[in-house]
Amino acid sequence: MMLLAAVVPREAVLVGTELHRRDVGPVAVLYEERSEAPTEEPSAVVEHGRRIVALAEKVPLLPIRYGTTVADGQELDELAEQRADEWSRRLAHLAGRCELLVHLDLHDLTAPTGPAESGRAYLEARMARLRRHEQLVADVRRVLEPWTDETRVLPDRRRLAVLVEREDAATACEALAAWGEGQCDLAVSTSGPWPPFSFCEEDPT
Amino acid sequence: MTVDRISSGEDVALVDLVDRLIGGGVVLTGDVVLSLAGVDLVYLGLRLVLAPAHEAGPVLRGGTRG
Repeated sequence: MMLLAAVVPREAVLVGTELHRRDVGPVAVLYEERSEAPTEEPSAVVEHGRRIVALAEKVPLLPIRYGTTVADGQELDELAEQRADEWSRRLAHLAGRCELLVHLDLHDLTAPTGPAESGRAYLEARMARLRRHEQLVADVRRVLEPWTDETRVLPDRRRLAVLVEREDAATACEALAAWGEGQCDLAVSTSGPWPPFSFCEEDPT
Repeated sequence: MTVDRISSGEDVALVDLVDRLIGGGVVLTGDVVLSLAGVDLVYLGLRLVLAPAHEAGPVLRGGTRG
């Protein structure tokens, strides 16, 4: 079977990677040959991830969700041919960019509420925290506006994925850290640069 | 530039990496081997590797205080 890793432009020159490639229209799909299903062992997932991260520093790529396998090249062709043009456009959009993950942890967002608190008071407090969090997301977008025009709130709602030029990543992180120091009720941290995991598809909004 | 250089902490960075590997990226209609339960196992395993039990929560919430 083939464990799929990433989509890259067809013209991408790959050096120093053990991944195989299969060209489909304007793109190439990178994969590993496997005799058995990939393991969910954390070390295996991290190793796979580090390989993708290293590759993303050299060529534009769309990472493929870990664990995605196909039986053979024919199945891959059938799946990839339907999406190849869409992937190619997205790769062009993402070239030279990377993803940062901003962690926004409101100190009181997870604070336990008192046992004697009424239902109404609980809901009002929860609404206030949600509004504060939404305000923080807007503030972060404003702080990072010079470096990004594309962000996504992740499903856990505590992290914001930010798409920036790779060369601007460190500067954007420094600006965010400086802003975070002035927030008394917030812990802000950043990880990255990552491949554009959260930006493989156009923003539906 | 390396991941470590601007990450808030190696532990948080690893959790982010695993999270995005299994929760982000291109989704194909292929055979996604990891089931939902499998994803939970990845998380559980990583938590055990990364931190003692009493610290696992803060690590997953973002770790470093700004």
